[in-house]
Amino acid sequence: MSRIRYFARETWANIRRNLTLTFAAILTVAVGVMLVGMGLMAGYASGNALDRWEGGVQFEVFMDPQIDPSQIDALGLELETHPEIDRIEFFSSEEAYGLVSQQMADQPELLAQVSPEALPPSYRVVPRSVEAELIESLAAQFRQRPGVMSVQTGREEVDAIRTWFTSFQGIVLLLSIVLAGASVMLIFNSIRVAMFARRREIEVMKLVGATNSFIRFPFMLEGMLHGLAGGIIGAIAAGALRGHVEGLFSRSDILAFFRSFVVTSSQFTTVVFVTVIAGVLVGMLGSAFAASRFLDV
Amino acid sequence: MIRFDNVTKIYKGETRAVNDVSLNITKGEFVFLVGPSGSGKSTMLRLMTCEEKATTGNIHVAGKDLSKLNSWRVPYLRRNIGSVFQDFKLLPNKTVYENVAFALEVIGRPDGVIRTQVPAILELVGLQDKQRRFPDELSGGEQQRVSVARAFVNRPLILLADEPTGNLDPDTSEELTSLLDRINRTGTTVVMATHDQTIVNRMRRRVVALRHGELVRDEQRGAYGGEPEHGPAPDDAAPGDAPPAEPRDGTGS
Repeated sequence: MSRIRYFARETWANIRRNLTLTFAAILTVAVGVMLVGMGLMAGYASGNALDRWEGGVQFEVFMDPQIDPSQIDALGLELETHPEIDRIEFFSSEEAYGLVSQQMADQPELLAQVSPEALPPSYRVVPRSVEAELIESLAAQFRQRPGVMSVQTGREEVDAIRTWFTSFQGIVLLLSIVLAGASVMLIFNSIRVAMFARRREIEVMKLVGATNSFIRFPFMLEGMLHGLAGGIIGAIAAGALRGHVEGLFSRSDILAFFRSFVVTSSQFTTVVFVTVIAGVLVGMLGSAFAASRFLDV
Repeated sequence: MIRFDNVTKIYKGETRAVNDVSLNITKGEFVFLVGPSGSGKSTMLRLMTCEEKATTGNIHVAGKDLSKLNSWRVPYLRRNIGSVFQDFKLLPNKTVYENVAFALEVIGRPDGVIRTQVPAILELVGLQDKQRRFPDELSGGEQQRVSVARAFVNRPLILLADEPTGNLDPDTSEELTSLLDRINRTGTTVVMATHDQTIVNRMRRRVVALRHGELVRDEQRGAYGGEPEHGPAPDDAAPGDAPPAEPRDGTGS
């Protein structure tokens, strides 16, 4: 009992005495772990978005414009009756020309070079599954059919976005490592200052036979609390960021991709867990360095 | 209780602080360690508490061979040794009671022990009425008594005092020495480094004299400077004050 009271009292006294440095340490930890959380969430959200992306959910089969219309109908029937396909939509050459002329309305000289007959008629296919891999293999089945000019899935766009997010995550992680280093050094210093302020007590403790671990414990606890506080603040900030970004993107009409740019609650639990643990680890590391450096018998 | 066998301590830079000293202090003895500044008194005490390691030779304290003592065991050794210093080493932001209680707290003694032991020891040193005072509200003699209380509250086997009267006036010094004497009578071995001639000559206890790190004299019921210099007839100095330990060790000199 006396032991617990002692540790609580000494740790609190240290934190109070050393308020500015404590705040600096806690805030650095908070920003650092928030970045960790941000990187993790970006990874989760982009993964989720790519898995369910509408661009990945459908693919287009472009027919050769020269072939017999009956062949086009036959393929349409095959697509429609395929067990893994939900529904299809047909765009004739004329409809394709309509779309193109809409898009090129302000460039009439370009449009003049396009004739409706040169544009391939196409089927827009919506499979039952939303798994990107299954869609890819389904699309491949139709690629070799006679009369099919090409099949386009969202695969290339998906890959491009994935690459973009991977490098974004890399940058965020790099920044968070830099900040983690800064946090360790700040906690190291704030613990060193705390030890210096209490050098008399430490001297007396050694004199009367307090063990090293007993002397170190309040300082380690202090560093750990810095890390924990920073971790919790960082997790809260990450939560706020999640809410903000999801709110922003859920209204996004321009980028369909971002509509499913969300982090599930179980993934967010992992994020909170990781950020808090990262904070505590950083705190323990900094204070352990300080304790081993400045508290020898 | 404390045994030095051919102990030499050389600090960095070739300073021979203690040179080939052999000494045996038995349980319950009161020993004055005398000698001029730099003669090695403090080093002797620091060797006993394991703050310094002997360069050569063996030291036994409270049954432990210090050269074979693991560093994590040093704190447990120190729980058997109380230390008192010239500058008191009290914590200014703690009251008298808290200063003494601190010594028990940091070695993990339970609350109940602290609540009974601290008032008892403060009564022994005569400071029961000043428990709530802070060190800077006390006189030098009172402060030193607090530091003795802190050193003794855990009832150590050995009490080491390094120039405890160095900052005190003669009357207060005498009071403090008689306090150490009372503690010695409870069976605690007391080693006091000093160059206070009056006290040494009045007490007539074992005197171990050091010079340039060498043990130059070790006598029971001795005087500060040896017989020829200070001669107020050693026999008449408090014959009833016979120390509990009989002079039966032949080590030294």
